[in-house]
Amino acid sequence: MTGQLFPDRLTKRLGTLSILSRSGRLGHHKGTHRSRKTGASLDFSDFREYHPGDDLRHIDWNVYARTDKPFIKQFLDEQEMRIHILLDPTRSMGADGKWDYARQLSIALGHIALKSGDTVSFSTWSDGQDHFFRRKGAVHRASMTKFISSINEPGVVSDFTDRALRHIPKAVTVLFIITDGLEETGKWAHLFRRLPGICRDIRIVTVHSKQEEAPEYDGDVRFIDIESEAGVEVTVTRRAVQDYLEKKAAHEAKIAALAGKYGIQLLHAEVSEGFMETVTKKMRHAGWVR
Amino acid sequence: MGFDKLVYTWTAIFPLAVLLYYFFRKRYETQTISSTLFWEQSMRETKVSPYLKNLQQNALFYLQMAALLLLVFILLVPYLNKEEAVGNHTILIVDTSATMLASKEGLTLFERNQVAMKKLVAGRAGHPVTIVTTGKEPGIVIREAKDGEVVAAAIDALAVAYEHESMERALEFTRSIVSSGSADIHIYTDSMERSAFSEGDSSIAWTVHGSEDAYVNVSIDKFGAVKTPEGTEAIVKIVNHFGDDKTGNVHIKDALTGKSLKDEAFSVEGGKDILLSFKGLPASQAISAKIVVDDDYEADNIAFVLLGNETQEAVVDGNLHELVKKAFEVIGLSVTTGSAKEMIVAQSGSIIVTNDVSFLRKGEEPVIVIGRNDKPTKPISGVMTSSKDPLFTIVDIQDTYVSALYPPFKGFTTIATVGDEPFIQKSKRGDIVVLTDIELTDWPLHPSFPLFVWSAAEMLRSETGSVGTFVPNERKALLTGGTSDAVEVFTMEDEYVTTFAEGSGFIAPSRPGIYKLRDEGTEKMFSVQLEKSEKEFTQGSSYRIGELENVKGAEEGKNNIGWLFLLPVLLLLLIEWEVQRRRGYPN
Repeated sequence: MTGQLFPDRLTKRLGTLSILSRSGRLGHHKGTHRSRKTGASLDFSDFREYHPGDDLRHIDWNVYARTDKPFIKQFLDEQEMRIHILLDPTRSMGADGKWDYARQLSIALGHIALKSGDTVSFSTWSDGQDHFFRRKGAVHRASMTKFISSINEPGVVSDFTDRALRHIPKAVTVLFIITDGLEETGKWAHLFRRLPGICRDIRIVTVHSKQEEAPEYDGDVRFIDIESEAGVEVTVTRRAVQDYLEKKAAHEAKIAALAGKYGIQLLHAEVSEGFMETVTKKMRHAGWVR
Repeated sequence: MGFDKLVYTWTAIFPLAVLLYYFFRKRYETQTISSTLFWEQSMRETKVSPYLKNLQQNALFYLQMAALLLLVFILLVPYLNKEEAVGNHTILIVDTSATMLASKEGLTLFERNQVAMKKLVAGRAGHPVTIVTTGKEPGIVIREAKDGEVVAAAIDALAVAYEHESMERALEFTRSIVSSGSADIHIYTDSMERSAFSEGDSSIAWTVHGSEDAYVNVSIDKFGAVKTPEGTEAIVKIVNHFGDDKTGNVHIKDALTGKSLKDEAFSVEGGKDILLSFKGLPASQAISAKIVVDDDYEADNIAFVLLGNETQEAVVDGNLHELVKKAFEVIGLSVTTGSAKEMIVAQSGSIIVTNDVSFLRKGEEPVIVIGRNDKPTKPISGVMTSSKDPLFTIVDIQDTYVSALYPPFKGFTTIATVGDEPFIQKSKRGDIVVLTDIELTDWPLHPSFPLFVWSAAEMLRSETGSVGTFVPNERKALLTGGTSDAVEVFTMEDEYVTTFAEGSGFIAPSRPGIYKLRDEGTEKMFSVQLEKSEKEFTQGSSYRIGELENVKGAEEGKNNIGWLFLLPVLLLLLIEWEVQRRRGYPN
């Protein structure tokens, strides 16, 4: 099962990638990401005049010998990033293979981050139970795969947007939210308004299935909402489908606009294209990974 | 309960259509999807058109408008194309016969019909209404009156004429009124057979308003009295037209003085009749019989008889010419030929026509003598002249030729002469003497001869002090004095009834009873009696024959049910209340 969801060989393909963030807010531990602050890495950064109180160990004595003035030699600092992946566990995520795709995507992102030596946290929830995972270091990739793979089918009926905030830890550098976005725009707006206070670099992946993108129903269909179980009777015609697609596009456009307003990045992903494709092409193209 | 417009059963298509719609309702395939968010949105938009949405949002407004419009509708008192129905001529044929006086719960059938008629015409205000009364001579009360008040007043003024309705005549008469065009004819009577309407006429709709009630009726079928040497003898025949046994009292009275002569209780079985006889009553000119019994029809509970005026027979001497007998037959008397002996026997009750002069001295009643059997004739020539005797008021004998005359009687009044010789004489007793034989004159060839015979017979009869018995409104010529004095009619209580300028224009009063006829200072009596057919009440039914092509309006008697619409209005208001309670005021 585990192997099926995320075969190990794929890890190697992701090996060269790392998550890119312009957010200056990094973790306190050492990592592989350059910080804007000076630090203790091996890379030289700059010279600066000595001021009383500076660490004497950092004085470049060679420069002092030539100029007779004490200079401090500064190095670049390398710090870790804190990556958080939030997975939408509402029941609608369980339809049309979205759940597997979303988990694969989470694992892939986690692997990329872990390999870079960042702290990765992952959270989702099911009815009555919260799932939380936090590790640092490439060693933990397997355990993360195992953890995420073991999460059952989603069964949450209440809205994702209502509970999302509670499952985001503090001091997160990059926040990935994997969802299907099938909630009222008003609720999204509510969530978006509060997210920038928690994290400055938020990336939302909206997962769409093929059936959602291009409905292939025929005749008279009674659609049952998997979450609310409310039915809608529709006579599926080309016109009806057209109408549906228009509504969907409008909804997505609205969410995109909202996201843009709050500086949130949005990525449209489809189940059918495969998670590897999403990570290696779409995310790279969007400048999320390198 | 009944259905007025069965034609509209076709509207049942609508509920059936709804039912069918339910049967062929779409069957939806169930499909579970992530979210119906977009489908719902798209369906909401397709389902709710702008108009429907408007309706949903402004439900309260529309409900209120509907309720108010409905109220306005009710206030306008809608009636379904009634103009078309009553645009035609409405004719009311009103049965004025005595049977219409049958009453139930204090209201006579006639009064009830008046109410029904007023109701009918009230719904046809502004349209021509004609009212026809029945009888031997149907009359028009109003003709094509359009003023509702005039029509109502005319209906109020209608009165029972007691006369037999003679409905066939009324129908014929009405048909002649509606010679062209169409009419809605309503007949208000007690009972009428459908067979009376033989011809179908699409332009005329007949509506018969019969009486469906059964009435209790006990009537005096016959009442007769004769003078006998032992006193007056009377017979009353009482018929019970009702199913149950009835008991009551008979009061025999002197109609002139009002003195009670005899009272007797009677009991008559249902559907049967009894004969009561009363002997040894004191002599009286007029007797009335009245039964006091619990029934619904009063008018036939009283009957009158005048004594000594029953002269309906004539006995003609066998020696006289056949033409004389013929002449008496023509004026409506039952004529027998008799010998002298027979004539003596019959003298008291019949008119005696003879040439035997000895009858002038026999008996008490006056006789008619034509010719003389005791003297020979002698030829004569000259101009015929007649005096102003009542006998000649309608008879003109001047063109008559007489070849020979018998000698006159001395002491008799000569009322007609040929030349200087007396031709017709009258005795003091009242005998009329024609001093010639029928063979000796061309008089029988003249139209004046039967008129003279009639006048003579009338005169002999009127000598008895009574004019006779009439049915209500009977038209009959009376022999009166040739003077300009009018004939006046009074009741027994000396109440003035009517005046006739001439005796020939006499019409009997409509109300049964005994009346006095005053003519030139002489007073004679006559009685008015109900016809036999009016003593029996027949139960009828209401029905309608013939439909006017364009009749759509409601029939008479259908209530205005506009107030029933108030119920939906009330319901509508309640719904509004509920809608408002749930949704608040629309913004």
